[in-house]
Amino acid sequence: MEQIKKYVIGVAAFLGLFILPFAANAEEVNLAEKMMKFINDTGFAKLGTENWMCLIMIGVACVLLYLAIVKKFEPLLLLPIAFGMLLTNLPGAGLYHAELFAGGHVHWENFANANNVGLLDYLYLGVKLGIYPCIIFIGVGAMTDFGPLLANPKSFLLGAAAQLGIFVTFLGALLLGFTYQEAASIGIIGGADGPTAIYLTSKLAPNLLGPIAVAAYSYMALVPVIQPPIMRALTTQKEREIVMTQLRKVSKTEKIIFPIVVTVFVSLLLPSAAPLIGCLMLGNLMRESGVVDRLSKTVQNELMNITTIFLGISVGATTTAAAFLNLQTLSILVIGIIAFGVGSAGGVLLAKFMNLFLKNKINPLIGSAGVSAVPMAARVSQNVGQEANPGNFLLMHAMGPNVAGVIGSAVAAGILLSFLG
Amino acid sequence: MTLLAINWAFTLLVMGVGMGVVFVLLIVLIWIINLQTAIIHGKDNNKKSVKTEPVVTTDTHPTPHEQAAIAMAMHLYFDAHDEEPHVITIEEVERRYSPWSSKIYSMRNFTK
Repeated sequence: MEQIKKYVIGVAAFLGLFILPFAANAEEVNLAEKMMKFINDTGFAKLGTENWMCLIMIGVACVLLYLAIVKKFEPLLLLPIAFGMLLTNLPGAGLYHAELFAGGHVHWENFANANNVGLLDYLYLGVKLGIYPCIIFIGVGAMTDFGPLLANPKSFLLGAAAQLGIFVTFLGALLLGFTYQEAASIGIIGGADGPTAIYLTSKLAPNLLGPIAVAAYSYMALVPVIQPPIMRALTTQKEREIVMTQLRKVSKTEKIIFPIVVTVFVSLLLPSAAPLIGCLMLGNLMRESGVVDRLSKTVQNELMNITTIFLGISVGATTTAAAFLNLQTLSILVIGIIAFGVGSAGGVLLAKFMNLFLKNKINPLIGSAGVSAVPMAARVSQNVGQEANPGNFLLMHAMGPNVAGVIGSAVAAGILLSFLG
Repeated sequence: MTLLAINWAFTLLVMGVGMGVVFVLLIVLIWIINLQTAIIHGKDNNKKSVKTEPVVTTDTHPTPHEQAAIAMAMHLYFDAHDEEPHVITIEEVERRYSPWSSKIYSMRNFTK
């Protein structure tokens, strides 16, 4: 009896809420309209009409979340990027408005009306104004030890050769019909440096920011898969077995002077690279000076983590269905992997060339670490080297070209910016 | 058509100058680092040369590395191990009474 009573009350409540407004007089018709408006405002109703492509993007976001969580592909960045992608593609949520940044400019006048601005629009300003990549670079600098590079300055050449991928891909993208600015942004994927890629793309081709960031970080996570076949194909067993002499100890004075000298010299020669190089070296000076331990720890941890969250979400926010689901994205993904391959090959080949003249031979495997991807690329050199000779430890030798690659890709970005910006 | 649309002179200029500047800049950095190292080490060497006097040592002991190598070789040759008593003792642990988790004070002690 009690159950029946509850059921009857439930049915009455349902009728009262949903059916009666439709069958009532003028005042109640207004209620029906409100109800219909509420139903039409839901994301489900919008999905059914014009936003069906958002469903595909939500699917892509879920795939990226899977790769980040289960496969652990660069999860620190891929997870926020994928979630940003999910948020921006929720119909009706209005978290991101591409029209506020149309034409590569921030339309500040539209920010005055807070009703038209979503949370991700505000966060994206940090990318658009080039703030996040530079802050990340301060953290990267504070976490980087330039000791191996200072101990073996020849590593700089390997870092330079690995930038070949950037310029070859630039040409490839032009041949595929991209504009100069877009081609430069796609080419920078070959630098294997996420913040640099985001910085340059936000300046030159903000419409491609989403696909380029996703491609850059996905391929950086795939460095252990992409690089080894190229390294093996370009080297002989004997070359892979080369044992390198131990690196000398680098004094603290050298480590302190280095960031100051590099900042002054590079910024004078290439002012457009100053934001990236300056921030990288500021972080490194904090680390090496040893007098601002608190600041160094903050930029390495809290500041870097907070910025990574904002950067990831706002980059993910740019991947709207209209911007992502097209042939351009597919082309970028294909060219991106070629950029990585050519960059890795460039480093290995230059190392082989250098061996023709050097008395103390270098293992060509460390050349592939010249693409940035710190420290993943150096670890790959170590692993492939140990496959050939288990007693060979290349990690510290590979860290030299690896950190040289960070400087090299920032310099390459500066050159492209000064030519095409 | 794409080939015709590309301004080849400008493209090759960007590629050539781009790659060239990257190389030149990093080569100059190598030179600067080498110079910096030479100056710092030169300074250190000068300091040492001023301070140091010829030291005549009569120490004929092997260096720590040599000592370690000799010790290892002797260890392997004699197959020597530390002698151990091979007595295994199990010490009884004394547990003092503590009522903190005693069941007699628990809430589930219903009266019959």
